[in-house]
Amino acid sequence: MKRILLIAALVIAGCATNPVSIAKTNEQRAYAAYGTFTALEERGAVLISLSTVPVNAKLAIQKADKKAKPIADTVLELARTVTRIRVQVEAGAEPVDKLNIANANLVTWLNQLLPLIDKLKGEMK
Amino acid sequence: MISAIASFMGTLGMVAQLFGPAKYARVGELLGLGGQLISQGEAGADALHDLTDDIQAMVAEGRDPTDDEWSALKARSDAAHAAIQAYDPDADA
Repeated sequence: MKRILLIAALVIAGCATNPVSIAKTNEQRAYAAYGTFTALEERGAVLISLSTVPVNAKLAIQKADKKAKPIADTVLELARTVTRIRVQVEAGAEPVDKLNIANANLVTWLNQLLPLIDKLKGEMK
Repeated sequence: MISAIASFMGTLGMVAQLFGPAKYARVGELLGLGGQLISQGEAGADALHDLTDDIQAMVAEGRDPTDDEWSALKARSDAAHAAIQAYDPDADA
């Protein structure tokens, strides 16, 4: 009964469009990924507060969140860096190569974050 | 609609636990849990819908997230992360 109710709640929550898929720029994708991660963290915090959720499920959520958070925060900082460099490039103060390198870094870390988000989501099922 | 259902389930569960026969206490607890989960599921869905709307607006406006938007999102993440990491299984026993 509990499992059915939990699955129903998660299905309802999971019916939303994937924000990452509609983003166009790397910074938008990073924001969409970080926002999705944050929404999952908020859901995880609620689940952990419920006395009827098993201890091993709570520990799994805690572990997945602990692993993903530093990666997510790195994505955030790199996205802000890309935006900053883009402004400098447009002002002619920095070479475009610097923007390309920053973008490549951001994509690399974003690709590390996305499976960790899926892992966190999976621990809540 | 979903909020109304969740709220009704929570109320029904509480009534069953408080006033119903002992054998319905567990059912009442599960009804309350179901209502709570549906509410939280809806809240989670709202957060994702809001995020989707924000991204769609950024795409339409041809802009990237502002520093304020990033800061607000990070503050929410930090708060939820702290709550999750504060969980102590020994205290849960």
